[in-house]
Amino acid sequence: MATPVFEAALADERYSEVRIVVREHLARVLEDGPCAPHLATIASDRDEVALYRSLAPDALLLLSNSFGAAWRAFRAGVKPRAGSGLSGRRWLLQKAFIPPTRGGRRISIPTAHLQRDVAGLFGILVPDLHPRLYVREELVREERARLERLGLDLARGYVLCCPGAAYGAAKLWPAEHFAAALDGLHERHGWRAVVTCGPGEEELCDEVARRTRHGAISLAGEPRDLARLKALVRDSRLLLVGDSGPRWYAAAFDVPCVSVLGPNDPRLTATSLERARIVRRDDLECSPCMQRVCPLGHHACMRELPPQRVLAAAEELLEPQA
Amino acid sequence: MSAGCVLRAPSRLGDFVMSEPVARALDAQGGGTWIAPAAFFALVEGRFPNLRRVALGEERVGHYRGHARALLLNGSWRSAWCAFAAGVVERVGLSSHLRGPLLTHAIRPARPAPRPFTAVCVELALQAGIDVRERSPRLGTGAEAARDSFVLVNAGSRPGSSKGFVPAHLAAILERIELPAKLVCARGEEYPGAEVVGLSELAALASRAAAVLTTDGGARHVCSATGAPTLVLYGPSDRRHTSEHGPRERGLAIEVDCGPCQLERCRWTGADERRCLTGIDPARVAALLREVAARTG
Repeated sequence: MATPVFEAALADERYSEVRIVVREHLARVLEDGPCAPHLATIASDRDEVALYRSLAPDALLLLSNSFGAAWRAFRAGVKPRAGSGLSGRRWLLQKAFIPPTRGGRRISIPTAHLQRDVAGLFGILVPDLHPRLYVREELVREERARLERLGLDLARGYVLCCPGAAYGAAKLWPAEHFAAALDGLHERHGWRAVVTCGPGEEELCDEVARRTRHGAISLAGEPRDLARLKALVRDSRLLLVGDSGPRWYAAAFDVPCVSVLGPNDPRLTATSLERARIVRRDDLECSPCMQRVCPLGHHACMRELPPQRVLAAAEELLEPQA
Repeated sequence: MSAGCVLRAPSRLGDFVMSEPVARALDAQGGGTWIAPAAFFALVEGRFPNLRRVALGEERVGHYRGHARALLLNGSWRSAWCAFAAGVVERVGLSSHLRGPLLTHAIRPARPAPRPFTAVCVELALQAGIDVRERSPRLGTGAEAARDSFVLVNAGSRPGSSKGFVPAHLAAILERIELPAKLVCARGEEYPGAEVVGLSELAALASRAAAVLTTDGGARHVCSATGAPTLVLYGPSDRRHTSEHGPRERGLAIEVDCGPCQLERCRWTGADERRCLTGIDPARVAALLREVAARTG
């Protein structure tokens, strides 16, 4: 979501040098693109403070809303620091953006808006909020070869499915629902499913593939990383995902995406929806609860969200293409 | 979600265009009533069949009666009062101009940085349950028309406004533009050589032009929303108010110690007057205009 801000900062002629500080595992998301030469990676919080001290920048823009990020920037002594004034960190920042409020409480606005507005504190203009990612052709060829080796007929196209969610169990749509939706898409379009996941989600990934009737391909036992995922998403006909990071990959590559939302507030991610459909239950009083685990135990926002709704959303999204 | 919704559009042309995505979303999600200045509806003729249009003369309570929800994208106290007095159950809008007590969803604007008006509209729409999927303002059919080889120039502004081009500077720019220029303006914003055009005509010309060169006024938003490759010369205005302009628009501004002042009238006189505009190098304008026109593809 932050890639438009990165590119706008790089394009701003007032800054002679821009460094983008990210956690090590996220560097792979930005490789192959214009941001890659400007990346500085960190492995730990201690690294972050040390890096700030060694870079000694003239200004620091914090796109993370955490208190810790502002605290570490403060400890490193970098000035001026700009960021959102959330998480009680206004006093740690020289320039703080305060989101709109209602009755004194913050209202839900898209995170991309927040990032753009924080960039605006330093006068960086972000002309549009559409995320952009890049992937080298060599990697795309490698992934295609791998899928063919696993028995996929690439000419017929495939649906990519990312059923996991690092956030917590509350964000997970049941494996049987994912499988039923993937079977439905296979019946209608002939697209076989490819199921992939993040670290620690291998069991879920296998389970979704196993439950499909048409024989989805699971990548749980294959090498996976955030760069390879770009190639997989870019080549897919549709991405079926929960409310997790790959959703933004689909937006970046203009791939149709159906995203299943449970406990999260859809307003927080209401950008780049041109080729996306959000499926959620809006008739539950308890939703959005923003909890990692369902506090009521019934998990109705996900368990009672039928695969038919996902299929209908996919058809609505794909209709103009037909 | 949006059935029975009344949408009060902004009263300024630029803001009206920037709020078009919300009207489009409301139309797609069931429709409702759309209150806006009468002249602006010419820009959306033949579109939005599910929106009942109410041309604004004097705003009345009757405009709002019978609706369950009001989304107020303008800042007027009167609009909030009318919605309140009409018994609209849910009233969403910014709490500025002492409107807070009249609204059920009174949103205090973000601070302190200026923000794109489109983003503010999208956020207010989200509070009213309207899901805005496409946020770029769009006028016309959206289909790419064949473009003629002329540059449409809108250099006008209200008399004395700090946003308007200085004639000598405009002449220097026009000398360097390689394509023929068609100079246009709105009524009341006349300048030498310019033809007065209405909104529909402006949109039609923009959709045919190879590129548009404009000040940061309402016409800029009309031209840009037609999909025309547009170059905006900013003077006193803060670009952050309108920064989400899409890939076909480009802005040019220079840094001056007094700007962006957002003032209607320049505080300086003589050679310093409107230096935020006159300081822009005409050769750079011509070069950027070439680049912008080349984006037509």
